[in-house]
Formats: sequence, structure tokens, C-alpha cells
Amino acid sequence: MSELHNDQNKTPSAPSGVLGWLADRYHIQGLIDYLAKKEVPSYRHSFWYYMGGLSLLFFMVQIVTGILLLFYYTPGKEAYSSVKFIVEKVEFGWLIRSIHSYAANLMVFFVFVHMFSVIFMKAYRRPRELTYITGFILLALSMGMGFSGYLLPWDELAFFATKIGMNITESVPLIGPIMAGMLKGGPEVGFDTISRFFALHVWGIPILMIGVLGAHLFFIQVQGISEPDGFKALPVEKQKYVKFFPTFMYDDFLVWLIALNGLIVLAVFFPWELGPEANVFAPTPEGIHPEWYFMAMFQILKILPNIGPLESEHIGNIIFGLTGLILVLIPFWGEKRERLVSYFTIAVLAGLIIFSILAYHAVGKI
Amino acid sequence: MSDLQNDPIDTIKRRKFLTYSLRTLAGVWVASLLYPIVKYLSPHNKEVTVDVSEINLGVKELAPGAAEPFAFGPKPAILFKTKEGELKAVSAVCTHLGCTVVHKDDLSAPPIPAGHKGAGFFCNCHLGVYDENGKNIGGPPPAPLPEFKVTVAENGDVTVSKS
Repeated sequence: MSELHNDQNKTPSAPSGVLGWLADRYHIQGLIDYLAKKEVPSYRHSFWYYMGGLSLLFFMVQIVTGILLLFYYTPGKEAYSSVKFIVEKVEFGWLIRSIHSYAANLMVFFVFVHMFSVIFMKAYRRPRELTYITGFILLALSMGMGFSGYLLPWDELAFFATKIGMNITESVPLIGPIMAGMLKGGPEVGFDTISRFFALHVWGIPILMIGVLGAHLFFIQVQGISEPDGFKALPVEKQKYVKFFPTFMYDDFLVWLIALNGLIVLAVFFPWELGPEANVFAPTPEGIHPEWYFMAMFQILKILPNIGPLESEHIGNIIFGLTGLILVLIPFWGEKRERLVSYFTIAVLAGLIIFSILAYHAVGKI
Repeated sequence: MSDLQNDPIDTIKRRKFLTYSLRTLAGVWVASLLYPIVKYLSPHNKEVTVDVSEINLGVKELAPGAAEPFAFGPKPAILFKTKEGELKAVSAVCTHLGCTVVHKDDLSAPPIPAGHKGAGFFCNCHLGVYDENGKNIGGPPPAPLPEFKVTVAENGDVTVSKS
């Protein structure tokens, strides 16, 4: 009874239990107070705030399913047979692999949506430049994960997709051939390439991602979530906020639950296929194309002409490189050019969509 | 209807019912996630038969005092001939913590702890010592090495089986 009484005398935010035990020993009281007070603006467009969280959810799904796949997967010569074993022999192996493939695509998708929504809401503005840049790096790393993971099953599509990717890498002036050589581990894409991509896919890129992701989330926690102009322009009494703990967190979990169930439904009813084993000397199959997030680039590379001394893939490299550079530097364009940022981003988004549609049309999928 | 809603006891009952239902549902959901993972992680390598009861080693010419390792299913075992010329076989899995023992002609030589002599088996992990018949005589092993039944057919074929 007296204990209960003591509890009531404490300040409302003083924690008990495990948190209290920790707070007694480490200086975390400030952090606890901060998180208890943390609020998130609530308005018409606040559902865009879930996009980053969804990207995070799929990243965590990738870690769990990736570790599970590692229990059976073997890189090198046995790559294809080990994936075949997972899909055909191991109980629920098809499901784990299917979830891993779908979640990879959904992660890239939500990272894209997250980036575009952040640009349109102008959340990249001072003081959030580094949050934006770390986010952009995470997008690049996600695509790197997609590309490196794609080769690992060593089926026909995987082989040719990597071959094309390596040729593009090779066409980068000066460093291109050296980089491509280091990635391939031999004169051609082969079993040595699988081992190298495997190392990058399960350790190299993930460890970078976890570090950059840590910084990204830390920046967000320290600065709080950005409030768009429309929200700030509202009269103060109309600016609604919800508590991060527990309201926003529970909302976030609910969105995660729905997303996770959607993912499982996809993986169960439309299991990801495993193509025939790659044959290095067989002709490239008809209508071959990369994953959707490389489709626009794929189409642009197909239609680019050779101009003077520049071959088409050089022009492609210049276009993709410049677009990326301009996008990553958006926070530094200056306040006066914010309208230009929006136009540029709309143009990039429109370009991505149009060229992707053209690309799917060209391979007869639309 | 409104009476029912305002009845405090009924409201508590309903809330309790909803809480339990929700928790049950959450439990079922988590279980349905864990079930495939547990199944996925269960051992799958069925090419190695774990349950071996007999193995044919073919013709074996061993001199008295000599030994030869062989695989009894997935586990190591040792076939040996005593000085008296009897063909025997024991499991080579140390009864202490499962290392693989080695057959020794002379138990008095290092690294075997002093105080033993003659032929026998020795485990390098924790210095377990067994005599020529596989009986634990030194170090931590709690039990003798399990012995197999060895039969030699007329044509010299050696068959080892669980005794």
C-alpha cells in the first residue's frame, strides 16, 4: 500500500519497472521526457508520414526472411540448386522466398513514394538536409540490394539482368571497367560473380544500410517530423497534434499489420517464380526485361542514339548521373527555386512513369 | 436496448469479451506466422539415414591390435582386432561430450594421463580413457563406448549391427 502511495508522489513521467531501473543508472530521463512529449501533426495529408515507416517494415521483413534463406542458400556453383531445394523441398521454403522477393519490391516502391512525398511536402528544407540526403543514400542502397539479390538464384533472368548491369557499369568512363571487373570477379558474369554479389547482398550493403538508417532515424527523432506550409498556415486552434506514444505508434503498427497481411496474401496466392537455370551460352530469351524499378532506365537505354563520339550508354550514364545528382542536391537549391524543385520532380516522376509504361508496352506486357 | 448499453456490468462483460477475442485473434495471427518458420527451420537432410541398424563393411583383413574407422549411419565408429584375434566394433562417439575417440595401441604413452597400459581408446578433448573393450577407465566419460555386434560371413564379409 505504501509503495502505491510513493508511486503516486512521483512526477508523472518518472518511469517504473525496467525503464526506471535503467533511468537510475543512465542519463535517459531527458530522452524519456522528450519521447513522452513528442507529438506528430495530424492533418489531411498526414498519411504520407506512414511511407517511411512502411519502408522500414519491409526492410525488417527482408532481414528476417533473408536470414532464414541463408539457412539453405549456397552461393557459387550450387546457387541454383540450393534455391530450387528451398522452393521445392523445404517446407514453406517457397513462402519464405516469395515473401523475400515481394518485400524487396515493396520496399523499393515505398522508398520511392517516401522520397517523392518528402520532396513535394518540402520536408527537405533546412534544417533537414541531412535527413533527406541519408534518405537518398538509402534509396540508392535499396536499389543496390535489389540488383545484387536478383543474381543470387542464378536463373536465366538473373544472369542476363546482371550481364546488362555490368555492361552499363563498364561504360562509366575511367572507373567503370575496374569496378565491373571487381564486381564480376572474372572476365564474364559467372559463379565467381555470385559469390561477390552474395557478400555484398548479405553483409556489405546491409551493414551500410543499417548505419545510414540509424542516422536517418536519429535525425528524425532529434528534429521532429516536418510540418508542411499548409499546416503551419492554419490558425493555431486548428493545428491538431497526436502523441507519438502511443497514438501515432499504434496507428503505425496498424498500417504495418495491414501491409504485412497484404504481403503474405501476395506471397501465398502469387508465389514468386524461379526460372530455368542460367546457361551462359544460351541466347537471351525473348522479351527479357529487368524489375519494374529499372524499367524506365532500361527503356531510355534502348532508345538513346549514338551521338558523335558518345555511345548511347554514355549518354544514358550522363542522364541518370545528372538526374541523381540534381535530386540529391535538392535541399541546396535555395528557397527561391522551390517551385523549380517541384517542376523538376514532377518531370522526373512523369518521366519514370511514362518510360516504364513504354518499356512494358515494348516487351508486350501492356 | 439502451438499458442494456447502460448496464455497467453488461458493459464490462462486453469489454472483457472483446478484449479476450482480440487477444485470441492476435495469438492465432502470431502462431500462423511462427508455424511456417518453425517448419522451415526443422532439419531437412533426409539423404543421410539416421536410423541405421546394420552395415556391411565387406571383407576386412585386420592384424591383431589394428583398428579401422568406419561410418555407422551418420556417426563414426571403430572396427578393431584384439591381440587375441577377436574382431570387435564400438561407437567412436565419446560418452562425455561427443568428440570422436581414437584407438591407441599403448595407453601408457603421452598425451594420455599416466596410470594406464595396454591397448584402448582415448578422447583428445577432455582426456577420457577407455580400455580395449570400450570400458571407461579414466577421465570424465560417464559410460563405456557402446559396442556393436560383429559377424563375419563365410566369404569374409564383415557385418556390424546394433547389439
